[in-house]
Amino acid sequence: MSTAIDTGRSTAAGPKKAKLSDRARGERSLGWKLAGPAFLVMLFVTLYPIVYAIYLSLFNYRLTDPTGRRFVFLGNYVTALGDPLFWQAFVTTFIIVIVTLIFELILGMGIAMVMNKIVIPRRTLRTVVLIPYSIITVVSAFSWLYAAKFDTGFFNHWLNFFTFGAWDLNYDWFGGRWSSLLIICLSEIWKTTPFMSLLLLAGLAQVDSAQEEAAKVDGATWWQRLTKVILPNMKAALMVAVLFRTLDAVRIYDNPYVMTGGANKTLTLSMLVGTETIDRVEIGMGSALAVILFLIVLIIAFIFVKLFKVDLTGGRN
Amino acid sequence: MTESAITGVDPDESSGRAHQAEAASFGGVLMKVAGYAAMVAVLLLVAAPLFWIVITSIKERPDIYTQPAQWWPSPPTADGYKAATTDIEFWSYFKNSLIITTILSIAKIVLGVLSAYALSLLRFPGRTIIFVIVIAALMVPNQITVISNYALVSQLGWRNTYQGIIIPLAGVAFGTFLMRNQFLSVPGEIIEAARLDGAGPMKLLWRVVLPMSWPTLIAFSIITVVNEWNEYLWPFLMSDDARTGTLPVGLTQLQNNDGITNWGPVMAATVLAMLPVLIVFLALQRHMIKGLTAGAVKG
Repeated sequence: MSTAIDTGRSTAAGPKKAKLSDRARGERSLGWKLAGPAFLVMLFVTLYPIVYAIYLSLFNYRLTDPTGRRFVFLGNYVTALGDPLFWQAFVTTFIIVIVTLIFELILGMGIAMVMNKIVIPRRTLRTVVLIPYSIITVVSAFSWLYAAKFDTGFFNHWLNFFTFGAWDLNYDWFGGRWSSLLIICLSEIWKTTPFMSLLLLAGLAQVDSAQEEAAKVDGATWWQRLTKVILPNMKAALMVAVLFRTLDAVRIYDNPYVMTGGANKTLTLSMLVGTETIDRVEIGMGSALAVILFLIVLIIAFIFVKLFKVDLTGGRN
Repeated sequence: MTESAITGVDPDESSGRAHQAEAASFGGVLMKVAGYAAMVAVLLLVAAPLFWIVITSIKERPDIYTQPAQWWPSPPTADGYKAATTDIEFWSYFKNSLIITTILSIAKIVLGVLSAYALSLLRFPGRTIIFVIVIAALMVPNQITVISNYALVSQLGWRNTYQGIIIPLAGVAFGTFLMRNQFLSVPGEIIEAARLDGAGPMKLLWRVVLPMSWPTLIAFSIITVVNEWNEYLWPFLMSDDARTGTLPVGLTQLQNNDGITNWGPVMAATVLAMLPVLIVFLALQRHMIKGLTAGAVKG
């Protein structure tokens, strides 16, 4: 594709050189005019806070005791990384990330494909599937909490019914780490799979249906068509969906906060940052944890880019 | 599903054209059945908790805690809705949410599309650096930004103001990234043809690039509207009361109103809070289908 454009340009360049450089000049100023505002907002609301957080993370600084502020260099980081609670939160976070991502990807792809193919109740289907996404996270967490609680919910009753009474009606889902995590993951999957399928659907729409037909005529199986034609053609959309869901899931906060408040070893990294800065007002330590979280996210993004062999900053081809 | 796939390519059957057609149509039917079965299963899974929310919102208070759980309220009541809209200043929260979401969504979509266009199809110095910064911004956890933005906004005296809530949330890393990828996937031949026809950069964006990017733009818009509508932490920190507080803030107030959660009003408020997003979605959905067919014609 790029060669086609390049040759087109070079042939046009001869006679119309002056005009082209005009265009280039116009593009330069227009480029800055269009990207500039977004860039400035970004610098103001993101870059500056990061620099500020890194600066704060080097101090032992408690909001209630401003005079006791002390420069400790990397002391906060050493303390944080030496704390078993940090590693526990780290493991919990990644269990949630991996489990939800796998299920969301498979379900999201399935739903996107069904939405792409099915004609009759398409509009209703798309609307219904996307409803959970429109529910406020805090509230969806509340409703799952309510449904899973043994004194108000229906989970135990359903399980009791479907196992012909073998399931304990008073099973406490929030009494242990794994059952709590299961409910957290379930509600997270329920809530965000629509997001996944929406992004994947936009990608699916760009797969050339003629190519798929051709593969079908050539006798490719359903699985072959999926893995050899559909998925490679929507690689960009797939990558964006996976990357964003991962980055979002790593920062999971509202959901476990409502469900368990971090009890039974369900504390996530994001909640750890929250308790340090908001509850304990240890701004220095909280900032250090936030910076660590940021670095983890950066590392994940880096691994994804390498794994998918996608050049995030790259231009055409 | 696998069964149909196997039948579709069975080497014995592929010998005769008639056989193949038959197998394909049989496979097609199976696929359709499997597709509809999957659809029904998904609908049920999605619908059950939703049904539960709606039912709880019209239950009388004692019924909410009855065991075994009732699947139909007897009799249904509007008390939950009455409480949800009177216990807190519901309509005030609602109005704030509406204003903040509208302004933020428009700002984000405009900024996102324009910056993505510049970063994908225009050549100018500093382009790569800007884009690297945009990507880096995507990775920033909001716990980081909250600390310093809070200090900054407080110093400006912007707490309990709309601008105090809106401006720190107006960064658009996600939209820029998503739309840029989309714009890059528009075939270069078409762009070059439009340029040769004398289309300026803005005309190129409006008439060529954007119309070819409808599905992604709609997806981006829906995601933006939903995210802004659901934003919790920042509006919560920025507003002390119903003057600027948004619906999620109001909802948690409703939840904490009397120590114990009163599920009826909370669920009623949930249903009410869900409606605007649903309307937006229904409105945009039509265009999404148009976009999808446009995308299919592309090749």
